[in-house]
Amino acid sequence: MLEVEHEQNTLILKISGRIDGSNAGDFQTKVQESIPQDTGSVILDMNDLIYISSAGLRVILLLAKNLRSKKGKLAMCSVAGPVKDVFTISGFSAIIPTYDDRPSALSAIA
Amino acid sequence: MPGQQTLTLALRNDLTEISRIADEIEAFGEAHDWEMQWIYNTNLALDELITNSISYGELDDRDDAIRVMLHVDDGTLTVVMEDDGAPFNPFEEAPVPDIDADVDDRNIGGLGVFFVKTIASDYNYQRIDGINRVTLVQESKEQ
Repeated sequence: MLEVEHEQNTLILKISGRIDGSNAGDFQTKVQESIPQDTGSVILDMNDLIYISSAGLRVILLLAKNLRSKKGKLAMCSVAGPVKDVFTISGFSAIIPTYDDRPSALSAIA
Repeated sequence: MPGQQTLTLALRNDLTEISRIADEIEAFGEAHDWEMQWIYNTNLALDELITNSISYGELDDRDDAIRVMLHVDDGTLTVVMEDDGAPFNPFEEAPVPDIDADVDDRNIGGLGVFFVKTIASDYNYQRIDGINRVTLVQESKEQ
């Protein structure tokens, strides 16, 4: 569901599998636990995410609001297939900067 | 995908049922050569509606608290979902999301029902004899 990595002083949250109404609560807990108080930049790597519904988007929106309040940066990368449609339809692609791959995201916000 | 196919599912009043039926629908769809979009969109729509129903519907604790039927006929997929919960018309009563709002002003409410409306070519809600019935139609894009 969630792996935490660090690259160039940036926290990378690698999201995988399915995030649906049944496990979005766990997902929220894991995201909250992985964000240190002073983190500046976070990248959500969606390469292995195969499914997400509005319950998962809610967690991402809460993260975006949290980082915004701390003047932190948030970006997404490697969003593809039906998952990409969900981010497009919801308007999330327009409010969270989205990059084709991790290196592009890192060079933009790290 | 010629001919007719029907899948009937019964769900307990428990959010973990969402991932269980997602697996069943995926297996059924793959066995009948459904286009990927049907499988993903059906699971997304049911995920959203079932999450609402279980979270707010005050459903009974029984093995068929929610009933779902998928029926394919000639390139048209019809999904019917029923529960005995509190009356709720998602298409009228759910908030309308502001999908253009920025992060600070954005609220997540209503997004799930917005997804359902977006993926279905036709949708409706009926309250019949104490039952909430939601019907969704998806047309094949491969024809």
